[in-house]
Amino acid sequence: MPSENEEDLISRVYKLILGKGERGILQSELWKKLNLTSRDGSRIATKLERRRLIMREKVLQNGRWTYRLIPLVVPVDTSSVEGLPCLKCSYESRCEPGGSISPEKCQPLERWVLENYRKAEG
Amino acid sequence: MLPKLEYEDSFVKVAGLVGGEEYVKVARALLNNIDSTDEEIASATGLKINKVRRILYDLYDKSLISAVRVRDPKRDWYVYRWRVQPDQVEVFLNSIKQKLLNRLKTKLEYETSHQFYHCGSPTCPKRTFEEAVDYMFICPECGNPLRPFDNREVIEALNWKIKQLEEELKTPTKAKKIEIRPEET
Repeated sequence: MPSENEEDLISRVYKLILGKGERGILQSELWKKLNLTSRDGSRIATKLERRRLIMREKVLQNGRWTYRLIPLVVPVDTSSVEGLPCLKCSYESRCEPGGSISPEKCQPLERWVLENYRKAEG
Repeated sequence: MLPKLEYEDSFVKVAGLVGGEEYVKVARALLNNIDSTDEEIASATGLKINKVRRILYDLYDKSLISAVRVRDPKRDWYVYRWRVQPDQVEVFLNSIKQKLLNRLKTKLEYETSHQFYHCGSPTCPKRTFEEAVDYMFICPECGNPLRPFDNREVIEALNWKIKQLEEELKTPTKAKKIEIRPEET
């Protein structure tokens, strides 16, 4: 299991690959940018490939074989429901309009919407 | 604290939404090792086996993962092997948004059709006019007087969120697949 730091690194690598668009980026170029050894870099690329987020295409560059890392999927955007209290509410299955547990009187839901609104309004 | 998940697999992001950091650990382990058993996930994540099982059953209830029962030849008993169902991630996320939209519309209707009173304490709920009359304008929880409460900001916030969700549901959430053109490969 990768450590939290490695997961952060995997996330950064994926972000950089996505930033390069459909053409992706050469593995060697990416490791230089992140100051990684090719061994560590390859391990991260393999993990991303195993998660089916990227594909590795073998290419010949300046007489040497390397890989081009190409993004396959842009992850879903979950920002509009992040922190939604209903997702962790133990009464969620009993929540219904007009019921004893209801969205009308739910304080956590109201606070969440207000916080989101205030954040968006700056 | 939940790690930043902006550039993560969609399944990990949704698992994080549902249950936080421990769910993220299990989700990553499931992605790194396809068809793992609960024991393998526990050893990969460092979480206790009963916690891992609870998380797996929850993800299974939400149809985010599937399970196959296989015989463990070494111990001669049955074990479950768990696998991520990537197609279900988007379905699940869209159903959350739809449910939330319905709840917010119900709340908006309630907010616009009532006058509210509040004692000023952030832990006490606001009361409708009818409730305030019943309590003789004294908060039943803290004993402070109930005063008129301006809920315009609540209504604005609800309208804003409803609009945002309606826009998103017009084009349901999908992990965008990038097409690789043949000449580029």
